[in-house]
Amino acid sequence: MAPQKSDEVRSVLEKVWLNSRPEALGRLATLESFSENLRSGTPDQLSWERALSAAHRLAGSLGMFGFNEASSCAAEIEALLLDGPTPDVAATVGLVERLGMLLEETQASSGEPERRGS
Amino acid sequence: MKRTTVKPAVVTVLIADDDPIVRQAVRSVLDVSGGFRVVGEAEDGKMAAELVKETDPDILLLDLLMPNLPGLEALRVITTAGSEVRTVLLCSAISAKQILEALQLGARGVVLKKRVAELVPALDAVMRGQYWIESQSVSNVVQVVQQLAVATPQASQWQNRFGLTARETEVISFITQGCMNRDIAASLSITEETVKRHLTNIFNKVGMSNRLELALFAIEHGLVPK
Repeated sequence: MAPQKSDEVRSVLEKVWLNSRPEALGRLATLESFSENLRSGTPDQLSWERALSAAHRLAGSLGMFGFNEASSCAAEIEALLLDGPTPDVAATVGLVERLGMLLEETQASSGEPERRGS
Repeated sequence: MKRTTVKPAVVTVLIADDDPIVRQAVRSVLDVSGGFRVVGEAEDGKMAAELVKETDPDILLLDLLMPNLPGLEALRVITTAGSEVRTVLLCSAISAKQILEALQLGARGVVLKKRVAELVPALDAVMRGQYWIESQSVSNVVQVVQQLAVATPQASQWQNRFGLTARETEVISFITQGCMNRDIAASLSITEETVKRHLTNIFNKVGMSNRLELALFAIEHGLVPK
């Protein structure tokens, strides 16, 4: 792709990310809610299904915006959740916390994807 | 007539992905790149098959994991129906086995979502009659299919026999090469903890208790070349 086109693509993806970030944070909240249920020993089928969908979508969309480390983290959560509604508690909770930190970083650096976590 | 190598002035595209954020990002990239017109969006595989019939696009961008009808099943339906749409898989991750299956079902390319910047070059290549696999334009798809076929049948047998996942088979492959957990983690972009968890599951499934046993077992049973 010509450099100018490449810049335009990067710019338009930055705009889409800024608009999409609240939705991504909503997905993180879904994962955090499931993680909390898991920690307290009360995971249920519905929250597991929602968490699985949230992890899958985050794994795909975050990679598009250059947040590769966050995307990989979401993919790991998805892989854990695919085992069923009661995945490994420590691993799941740890990965969800890590994803939260990585998404927090995107706020400070949004508008400039592809420079970290590659 | 479709499947010509002459690129039309405007290439029509159907986007099939269950995530509205992904659909918006793809639409925006195509809009800014020029020469493309998005004629529809599908949020599941069944809808994708229906919209291909309805809108007759030049290109179908198809995700693998979608509700109702997974991507490859949707592709099977579309191909069986005789559509001449050029399908490009747009997915988060894909195994060699899935690429092989997709090509056999008539797909023309694979673009990973994290490499969305390659989308337009990929679509240009496909519209020129070429294939786009592993970030490059490919003319000799027969050779690619042969390579993928050689790489995947044993793994498929193993997965079926022991219930191994594609990722677990990948981990076994690294073990037979003598890789340490940290090397495997780096190669697969996962944590060492996740590698350990995969290994525990693998040991349980194949009945081995350590890495050496596992490596010898894998070589003996033809998962990797002797």
